[in-house]
Amino acid sequence: MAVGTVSRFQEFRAELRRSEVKWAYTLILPAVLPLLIFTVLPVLGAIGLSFTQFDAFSATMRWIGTDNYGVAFENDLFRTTIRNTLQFTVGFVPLSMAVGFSAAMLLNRRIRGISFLRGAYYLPVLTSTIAMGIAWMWLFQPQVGLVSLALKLFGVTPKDWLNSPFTAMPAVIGVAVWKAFGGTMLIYLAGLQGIPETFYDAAKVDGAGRWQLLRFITWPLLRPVTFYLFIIGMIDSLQVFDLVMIMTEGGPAFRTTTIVHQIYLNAFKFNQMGYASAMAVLLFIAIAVLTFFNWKFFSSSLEY
Amino acid sequence: MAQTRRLRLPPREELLFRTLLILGIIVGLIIAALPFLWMAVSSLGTAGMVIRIGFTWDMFNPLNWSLEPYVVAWKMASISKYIRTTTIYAVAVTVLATTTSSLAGYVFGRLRFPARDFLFGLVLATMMIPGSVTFLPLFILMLRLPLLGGNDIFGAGGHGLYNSYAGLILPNVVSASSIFLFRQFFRTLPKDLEDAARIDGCSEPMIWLRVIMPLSGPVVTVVALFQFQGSWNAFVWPLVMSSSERLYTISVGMYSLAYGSGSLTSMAELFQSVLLAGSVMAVLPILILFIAFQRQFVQGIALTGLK
Repeated sequence: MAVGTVSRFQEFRAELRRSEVKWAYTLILPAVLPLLIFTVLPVLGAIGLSFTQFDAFSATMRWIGTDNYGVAFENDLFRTTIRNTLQFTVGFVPLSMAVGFSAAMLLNRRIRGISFLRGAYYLPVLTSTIAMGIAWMWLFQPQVGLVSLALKLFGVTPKDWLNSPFTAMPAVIGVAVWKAFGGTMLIYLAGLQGIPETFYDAAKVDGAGRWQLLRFITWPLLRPVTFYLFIIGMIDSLQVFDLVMIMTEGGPAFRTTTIVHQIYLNAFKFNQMGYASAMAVLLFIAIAVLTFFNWKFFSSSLEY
Repeated sequence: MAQTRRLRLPPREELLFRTLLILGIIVGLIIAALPFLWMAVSSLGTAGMVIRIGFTWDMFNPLNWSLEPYVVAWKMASISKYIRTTTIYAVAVTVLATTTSSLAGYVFGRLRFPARDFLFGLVLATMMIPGSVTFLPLFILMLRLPLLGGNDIFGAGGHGLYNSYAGLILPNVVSASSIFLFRQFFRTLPKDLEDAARIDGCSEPMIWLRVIMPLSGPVVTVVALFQFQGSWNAFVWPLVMSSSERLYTISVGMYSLAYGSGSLTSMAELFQSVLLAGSVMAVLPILILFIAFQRQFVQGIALTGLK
């Protein structure tokens, strides 16, 4: 009798276990299958397509080996694209971090209305890039735009900011920073809240001033956050598209065209799907390298 | 201690610091909010006024405001159509992605099964593959799906799911980062919670629905909000996936209006105001959502580190 009970109990447990495994596979299917089909497969597809000349509408495909990559590296426009994207990165990453950090320092305190202020600073992040791009085009309007009017006060002659070779990219960078700094701020704020109050108390006892607290406690302890934002900022910079499409369409004369903008143009305007895929693969490699650094850094860094 | 500090008059330096601080906060507020205010005020301009005069103090006088740009935008510039499409798209993506991701998060976080770590690693790996790398091959895939949209078994002849709601929505039915977020949260719940239900003969989906989800309100809200916000603003995928105005989301529609492929070019007098009115309508739903759920949005950022 006792033996019977034990074996029935084991049977019940085994049955429970089998059902758990069966359900596990069933329930992750609607998540894992789409990820495989719509994310993993396209990456493999891009790699395959990058070795071909492909017309999606007539579905004709010709194997041309590494020619697409060869063309890319010899192409002046590709070089311009890379240069533009790097210029954007060099402007956007430090600026969005500096502005976000400053905003975090300003708003890292308990005062009345603080959550309203944080919300207001953060709002640009959540809104449509296309809609706010249109609003900013209006602000950059040459004759009556607010930017021209404001700069006139400082004696700067108004010009067609988004259509001049030297001001188009800075304008795009400026709007991108405006759109992103709220996110950087919130991540810095989360980092600031992770610094133990006792560190500051100890330093104050030793007679440290505001500047020294920032220089010797806050900034060093936020280094992991800064590194994370630096890498994420670069990954975002490599993929600017919406803002360029709406504000300049890559112009004037390809002065603001970026990698993703070129992928889009080559694929959907020039029907060069193979060449566009080669650029997508190069973009993927760059992002993978940055992601690897990020992962490497955070799996080896020590907690304080 | 704190009391005495508060009672003490701030010395000169402290006063200077506070003044600078408040000034900085105000400057930041102006920078963040001005484009929104400027957009809203300009969108209320009457015919010709906005584009010819630009900035005048009269613009801030409510007596000069006109809703004409909004009427034109809603009726003639198809904003109503775009809003409708965007709502369908965003709601479908939000419901589907939140469901599939929370199910997967439950399985990865609480069940034991062979190859679990491998499969979860795969999910994590897909997090680093951005849409800007995949949108082109994904477009070809949707265009050439076999046996759909007039395609034969080899995917030739028709147009697959190109220019359809299914094509817009399908690639977004799951989100790897949401799976991750759900898994992290579900792992913190005590294990004996569902054991009782399991012994009573509850199946896994029932445990997910009846035991786990009711305890997960905050994380579900965060995921759903970010899914909705992301798909409401989506641009690249709807842009390449739709060829007819019927399927334009608000961002694609506003882009086509701004570059004159809409039906608006003939009304140059109102053009700028109508464009800005459209932009206001594109931003307004997110603004309302943000005001209602500000705490959740902010928590979500802190939780995920996503921007």
